[in-house]
Amino acid sequence: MRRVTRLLWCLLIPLCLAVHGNGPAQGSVPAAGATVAAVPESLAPVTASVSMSLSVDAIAAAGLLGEAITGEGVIIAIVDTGVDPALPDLALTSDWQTKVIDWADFSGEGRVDTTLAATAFRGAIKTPYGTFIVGTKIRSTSGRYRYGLLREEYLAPGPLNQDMNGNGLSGDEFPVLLVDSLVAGVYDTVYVDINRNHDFTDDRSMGVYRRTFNVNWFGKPGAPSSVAYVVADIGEGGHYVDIGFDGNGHGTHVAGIAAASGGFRGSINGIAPGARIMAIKALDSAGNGSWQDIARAMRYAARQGAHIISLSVAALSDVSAAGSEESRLINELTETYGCLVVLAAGNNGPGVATVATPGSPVVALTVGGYMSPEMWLKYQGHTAVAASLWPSSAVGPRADGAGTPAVLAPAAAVSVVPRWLSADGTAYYEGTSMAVPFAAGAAALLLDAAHRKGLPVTPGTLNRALRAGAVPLPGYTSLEQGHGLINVTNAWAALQAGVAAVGLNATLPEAWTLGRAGIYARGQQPGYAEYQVEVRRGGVYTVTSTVPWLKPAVTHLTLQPGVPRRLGVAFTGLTEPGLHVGQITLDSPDWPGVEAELSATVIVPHKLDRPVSVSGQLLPGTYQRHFFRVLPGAEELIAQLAVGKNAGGDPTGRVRMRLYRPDGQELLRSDYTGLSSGVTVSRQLVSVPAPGVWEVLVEVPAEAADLGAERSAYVLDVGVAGLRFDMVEWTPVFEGGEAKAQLRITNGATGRILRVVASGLGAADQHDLPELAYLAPGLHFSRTLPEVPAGTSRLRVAVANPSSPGVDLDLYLYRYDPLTRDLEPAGTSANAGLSQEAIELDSPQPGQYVVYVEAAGLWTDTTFEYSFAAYADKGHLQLTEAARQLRPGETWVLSLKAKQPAGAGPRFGKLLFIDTETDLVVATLPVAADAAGVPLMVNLWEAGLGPAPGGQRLLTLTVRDPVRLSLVDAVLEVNGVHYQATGGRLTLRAGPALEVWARHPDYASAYRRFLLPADLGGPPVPGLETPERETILRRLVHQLSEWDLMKR
Amino acid sequence: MSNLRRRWAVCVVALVLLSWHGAVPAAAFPDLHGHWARQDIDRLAAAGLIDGMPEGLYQPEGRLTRAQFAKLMVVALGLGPELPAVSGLSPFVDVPRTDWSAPYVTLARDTGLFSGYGDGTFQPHRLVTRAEIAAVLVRALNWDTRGFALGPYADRDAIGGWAVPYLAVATARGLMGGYPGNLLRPNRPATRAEAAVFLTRLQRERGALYELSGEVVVAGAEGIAVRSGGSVLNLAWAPGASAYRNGSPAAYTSLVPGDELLGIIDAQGRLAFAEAHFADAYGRVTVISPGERRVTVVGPPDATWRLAAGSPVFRNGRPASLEELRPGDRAYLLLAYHHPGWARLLDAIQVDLEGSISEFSPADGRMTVRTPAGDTRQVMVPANARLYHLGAPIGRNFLRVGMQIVAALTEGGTEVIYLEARD
Repeated sequence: MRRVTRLLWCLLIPLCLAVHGNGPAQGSVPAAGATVAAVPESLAPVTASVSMSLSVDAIAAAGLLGEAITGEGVIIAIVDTGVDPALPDLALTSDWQTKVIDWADFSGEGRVDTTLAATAFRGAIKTPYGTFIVGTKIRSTSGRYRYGLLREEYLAPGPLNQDMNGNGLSGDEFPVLLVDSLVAGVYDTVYVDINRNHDFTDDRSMGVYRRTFNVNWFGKPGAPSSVAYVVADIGEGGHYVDIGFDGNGHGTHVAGIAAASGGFRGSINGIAPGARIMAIKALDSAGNGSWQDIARAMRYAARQGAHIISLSVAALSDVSAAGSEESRLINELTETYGCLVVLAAGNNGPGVATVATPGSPVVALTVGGYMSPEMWLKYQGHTAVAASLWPSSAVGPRADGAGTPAVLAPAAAVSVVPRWLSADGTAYYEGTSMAVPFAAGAAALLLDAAHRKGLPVTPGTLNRALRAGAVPLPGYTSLEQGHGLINVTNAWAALQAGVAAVGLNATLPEAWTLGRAGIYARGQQPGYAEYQVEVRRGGVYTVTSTVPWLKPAVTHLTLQPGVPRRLGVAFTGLTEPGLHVGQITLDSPDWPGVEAELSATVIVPHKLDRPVSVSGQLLPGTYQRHFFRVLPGAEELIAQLAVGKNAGGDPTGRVRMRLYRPDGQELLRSDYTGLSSGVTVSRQLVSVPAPGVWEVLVEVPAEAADLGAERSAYVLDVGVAGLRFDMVEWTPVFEGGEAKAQLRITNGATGRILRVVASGLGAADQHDLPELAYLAPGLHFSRTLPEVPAGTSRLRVAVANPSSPGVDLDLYLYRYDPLTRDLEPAGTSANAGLSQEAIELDSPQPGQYVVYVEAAGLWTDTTFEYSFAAYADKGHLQLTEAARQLRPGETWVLSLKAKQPAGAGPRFGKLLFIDTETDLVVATLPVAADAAGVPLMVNLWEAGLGPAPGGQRLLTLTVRDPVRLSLVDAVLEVNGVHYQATGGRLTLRAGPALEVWARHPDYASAYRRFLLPADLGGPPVPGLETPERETILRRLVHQLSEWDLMKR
Repeated sequence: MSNLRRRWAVCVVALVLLSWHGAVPAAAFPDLHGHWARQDIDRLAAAGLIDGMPEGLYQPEGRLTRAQFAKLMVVALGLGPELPAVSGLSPFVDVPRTDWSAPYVTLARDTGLFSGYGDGTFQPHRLVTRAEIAAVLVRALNWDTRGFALGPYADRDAIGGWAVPYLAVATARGLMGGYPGNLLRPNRPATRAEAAVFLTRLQRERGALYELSGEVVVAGAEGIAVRSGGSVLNLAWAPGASAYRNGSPAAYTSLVPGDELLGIIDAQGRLAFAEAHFADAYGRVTVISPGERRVTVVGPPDATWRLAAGSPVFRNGRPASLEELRPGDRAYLLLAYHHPGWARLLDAIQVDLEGSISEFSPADGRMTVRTPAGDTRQVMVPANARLYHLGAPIGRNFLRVGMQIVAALTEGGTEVIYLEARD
């Protein structure tokens, strides 16, 4: 065992580093959509020029192109994996200027260290790598010849297979020579010993690309296996050389879509053949890069004068909030340099909230993927599929509620790629990566047209014109398609009509928890919220809502530039389960069209207190979303999808389902059922589903049309098994430092003996959402746990729910022993054939732990859920009963008691329900309490009135600082509906019973119950004079003190 | 808390005995003395919703311009904090951007209260009519105008077509009343007093008239203690705060413990307006249904009351439950003034024995009582019996021959449980 742990330790270190470098781990940024889709073999291949004309038609760019608008004079920066500098399609613009005007590398992949230097002696230099001939022609003015090695093994694994010269080996090293040819110390000329003959005199002298446009090849110039390269940069003082090349193909493909020009021995025209390209490499050959590299690349591009930045990367950040570093950069580049940033929506759709792109939703242009009927037919061979979203295009809203994407563009294209990648120099790629350069090219056309017309254009107006001109697709919400498919003709019309960018900035207050850039309620019920709205261009804006359930509090907003105003919105009548998307629009008569939209997304889930059955019918290439609320205690989520059948029992359609977690991440998807699948029912099980609102998306593939299924009918049954609690979370209401409650637990699973253990109340929240981890064949997964502190009562690590069916996950836990400086086994859960494993330690030794996960028999990539929790019982929670045997269906009423923790601020805890047989936690109930701070003061304004018709009436609540009595803008949860107080006040329609929680980050939460008395219609209150009144009152004062004592 | 209560008990006795008198604070505006709308105007002034005229008067019979009314509405709807954001703007050609009214008119139009005229004007200096006010109030409340028909007012022909639906709902829902002679006077400019009444009704409909509701624990010249929502708030009187009791202006110190209190707290957390009501009932219990918390009492008045949840119940001087009540008990109820039919305290006494003490032996507690009918009864007064004299707790040694008593006895009728005495 000792040997094994050593081995593991060795393995772990590079993995920890990989988190920040490459590999599809946290923090890295993969290219969005180098998806090479499976194209039916029978299908005639689509040429690049046919492909491009399909797309030109789709986005109606032909009109402008016909008027000889080509994007001339516009610079598009392709921030990607680099651009092949030697392709004829990317050599010149349509007006015969150099196409690629700059080549820079921020990925560091092609960096050659040239700090070492030698002097020449008899036409040769001596280096640790051997002696190299420099001859007499290669002259260093200073006499110091700098040199280094480009090592193939340092390149990222990718389509190039770390093989620059196409010799089938990935361990070659290429000597690089750097000289100062003119001025001593100013290094300007590079030689790469391509044929590795230790002689630089037969190699081409290369200057930095942006000054010389020199291009060379690893291998025979122009040969199919040769990789073209440039000198992207030479470090100051000659300490390094950046060799620039596209080792992936993604960047070249994208550049081709945006701006290829086939006039010069080429084959295709991109959308803007007249535009120039800045090739900015920020992703390595594997398609990965870091945000830091991308940020430097974008800043460079903007400073060097790019008009448009095309950035086709996915998952730029986990936290895509408008205030993030990424967002600030994009806003800054737009404002300071006048640069339009075009971003990919991402390829992990179409679940709700799968989009994660940075930037103010107004400033950046986020593009989703589109497929036209012709694209379905030509690329995939599917007939009769309506214009649709590209199936995996990511869908809004963003986690902060912002309404993205902005527009759609074609998500599939045959475009140019390096010759070493494809014999004919073209390839078919799908993804929102492809949609980005279509949009960027369209923007270039508009810029060119505007310049020629003398129309002043800013990135904002360009962005707005593309949105205003977009054509919405029927059957999709704005979360999926934004304004719709880009239409260049319409956008040009909008630009000419004077469409304005008013620079809207809309935010929701910090205390409001359902979205900060837009309203996003996933299962919660919003009642009233207030945007803070600010514009750059003042005016009188008409405020309207696109849906009846969302009502603005004003009809107009009169706005001055830069002066924020509040815009209240009320929600009413949202009870129908499903996805509800609405927008508040701002429209000024000063400019054509609507100027701004504010997004609101409300998801009303089905309750799963009993199994739910839903059914539907879908056209090919479409889907239907269903939402279900999973409560804590659920041990299994079961979804069963049955396809519709005819009278003979044969399926009449083809469907599958995809399960998305409450955070919008896809966890599992079923195989297709129905036609040509051999089955009619599929089932998915999620073990220990995270509490929250899950999306089950039922989709019908485009190929259903080919199989003759005009409509595919389905029945979806969803249920949960496990414990059922009668509360979602226990929020103790403290009186005199103590709180009591009763928890009803119903056993919705097999009989067993359950033990309950309390944990908390601590300051750190125990999140219920497991990490979605990734495992590929031959690899393992490992995590170093956060330091397990002394006093930890229970440590739990678990894995479950692999996306690839039948994967046998095994889980190992090691503890780092500081004495032996070695990893010692701390637990193993490696049941043969099981994909769900957990290790739990009672009172674990404090210290550093490492988790290690491997999968037996893994033949394809898989995701799985990994969770970790360290519980510490601080003694605040007390239970009357610690264990109970529960038969199936039996109910246990457990009395809970909590002592209020000292201090101030929120406190969290958990009740752990442990199956005594396995000694594993089967369910947890979260506890959220406030420490003994002074709670907010909540008052219900006494109307002094009888009730209104229907038992509800307008009521006003006030929230005050408990000491100073000043008014506080808290968020109020009244009978489960979220409201925002303004000026400390809220007027709402409610009654007769109100349960109010008031929350604000600066205060302890307050809970109050109000009961409005019903109108009894009794006699008028008499103005009676009782002779004994004074005596009675005096006595009552005495008796009341006793009444209070008794109530204590 | 109970300590506090005991201290008040002492305070209260002192207050009740000594301080029924005090200066009635002046009206917020001197020209409102005795005016029929004084209480509404005082209340709105306390809430910061109205100002007077520059001379410190309210001029209740003056008229309001449309701009002035727009200001009243904007402030009443809590839009005040938005004013700076629209300073220097005006959506109407006849409201200069620099005019004091421009931000108010802008917000009133943004909120949809006013839409202006077709020619882009607002006519800010025109006097606002009753019909216009009705329309604005209905819009502010988001009331649906469908389904209401205008009553047969004598002057209904004078009503502009646009105003009919607004006046229909405003009159039907009690926002606006008519004049004698079945007149609505829709085109009559409203007086400032009328405007205050309309504004009061608006706030009432929005449930925004009073923030504070509770019971007076003790009221003094400097401040007041109010039991509200299970805890006691100690509030200072705001300068110039007005107080009312049972509908009349009252001195701060004339608010009595047990009074129901509605109040307005100002931005500094002081009590700016207090409206106290006191109502009670006294009689004999005839029917009790504890499940529904109902008690029927033979008057005055004869009525059935429902006891609000959590309200104190006493029987024979001790905390009790409704189940312990018996028909024939003498009952005293504190009533919920604002909620007809509800009581908020019940005190019941089982009257077994009434009369005057003819003999009493403090040593063993033996007592002889002469009833009004002329009979005598002998009973024991145990040391732990609950005894009161004029509302104050006493020990049995305090009992004197000649005192008038009412007493509850044990089942056998031999021992006193509870006794009230007066001289």
